[in-house]
Amino acid sequence: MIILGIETSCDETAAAIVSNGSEILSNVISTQVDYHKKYGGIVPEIASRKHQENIIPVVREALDRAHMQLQDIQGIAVTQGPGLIGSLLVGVNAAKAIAYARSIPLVGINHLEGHMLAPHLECDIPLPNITLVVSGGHTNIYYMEKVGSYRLLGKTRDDAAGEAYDKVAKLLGLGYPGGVVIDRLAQNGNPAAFSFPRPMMHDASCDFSFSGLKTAVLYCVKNNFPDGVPENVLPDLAASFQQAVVDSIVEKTLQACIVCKVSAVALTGGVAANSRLRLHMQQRAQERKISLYLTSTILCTDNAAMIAKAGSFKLAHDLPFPYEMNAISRWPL
Amino acid sequence: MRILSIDTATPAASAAIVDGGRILAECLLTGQKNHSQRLLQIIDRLFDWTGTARESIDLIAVSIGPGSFTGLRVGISTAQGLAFALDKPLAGVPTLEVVASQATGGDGLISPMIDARKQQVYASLYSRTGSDLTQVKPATVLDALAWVESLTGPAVLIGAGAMVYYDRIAACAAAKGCSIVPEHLGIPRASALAILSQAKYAASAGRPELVSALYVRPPDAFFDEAKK
Repeated sequence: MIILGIETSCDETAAAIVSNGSEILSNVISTQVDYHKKYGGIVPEIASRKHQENIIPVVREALDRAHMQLQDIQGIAVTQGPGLIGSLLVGVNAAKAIAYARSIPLVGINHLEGHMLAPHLECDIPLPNITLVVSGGHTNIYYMEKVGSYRLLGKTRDDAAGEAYDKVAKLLGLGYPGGVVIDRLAQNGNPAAFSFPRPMMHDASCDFSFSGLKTAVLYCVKNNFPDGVPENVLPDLAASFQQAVVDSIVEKTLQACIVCKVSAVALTGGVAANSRLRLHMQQRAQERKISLYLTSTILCTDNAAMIAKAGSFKLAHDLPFPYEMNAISRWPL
Repeated sequence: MRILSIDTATPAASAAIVDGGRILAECLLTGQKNHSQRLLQIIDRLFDWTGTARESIDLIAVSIGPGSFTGLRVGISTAQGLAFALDKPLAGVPTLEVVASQATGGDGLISPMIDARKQQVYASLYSRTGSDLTQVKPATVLDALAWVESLTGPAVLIGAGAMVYYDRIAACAAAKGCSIVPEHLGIPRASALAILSQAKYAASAGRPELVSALYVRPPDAFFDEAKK
């Protein structure tokens, strides 16, 4: 089945065409990051307006790059939630209208399930496994028994990992989005220069907490550099903060593997593109004889190929048309 | 020319199929909170009831605001998706002009007013001569009373914005010789939209992505931490 995926849950307008649930024929992502930069974060109303301008051109582009016509599409999968409601509405309504006009089946996908299935686009991942979804909105550890059957083992009790990156980048005056800037700066820093807490590291649960870490960075800056952080100290601060985040994530995720007696772990979501996280997870998973499955950067970020992939398990020609499908801003998985 | 028209710019949602200026079917729901769940159902019923094949539509016309941001997203996304998938031209029609076209009476000034909340209205001013509507003042958003005070002569006030703030504006409107159209006549109607689009907007209709919303009110720029 040839599936068109559509994703507009946050600040990326994305469309992709996936064949037989495995072959990515096109994967178009139009990011709005430049429009939100000056506000230091995503402005929901601006995001919605940009999606409205981009949705049809992005779908057109996905078809063009796949050398296909709309007539070739046999089903549509769209992100139904969770996310920004105005952003979701653009994708959901456009998808409904296109599917209706073409008389093809349509299914709504949970964005988190999309992320969980992104690594499966690239290789066969053993089941059951532990899947970590780590992004600007989520830091969730799942036990994945099989496709469609997920158990949430732990999540952040406050800020998501990506949110902590953004907030720390903001307080260090590094700009937005924080993940990319801090990762780059940290390359030249000493991760042991500053001692930051690893919250909940030795707690038995699989939960995370990152807001205390953000506060620790704030006080470190206030106490040591009341006149502002000198330029040459920034890489050390960034590296030390990043190491604290990475240590928490790696430790908790591998702990989950051991507790659940699972020997495969997959990383997905925007923060899973972080170079330090990938490196450390690789080293420590190897030490513990756990197979690690990393997702390519382009599939870590919000994309529609993962939504089409999720759709490939759910779409069938005999589905009743979901006329009443609506966007869902909060939708736990 | 056979037109499918859609308006979801306000708490009312309507769609119509109009053929050669004749209304074949129209459906209007008012007080709906969820256009996203209803709109495509309405459209499907209209096709069904009129025995119209989706591909036989010549033009799709959509209300572009100003109005509820959420409502506009539902209507415009749906219209863009339909126009794209059916390969039909899409026309965007200003909602205030649709409302103005629904005013009864003869030639003169018409001021459509859509509730913008926060004591404000989206408003503009049109001059009608015969069946021609000419915009005299562009769409704006401002305090309801301030808008009426800004009018320099008698005009017909039409739309929910004139009714919601009736108590605040009635005295000023009367002093200026303005009349206020009953509320039910000021609900934007997809049939009026279709007829207006045929006369005025069909010629400039084109690719669906060329149609954009007329928000009038800028976005509130604040950092939103709600996405969890």
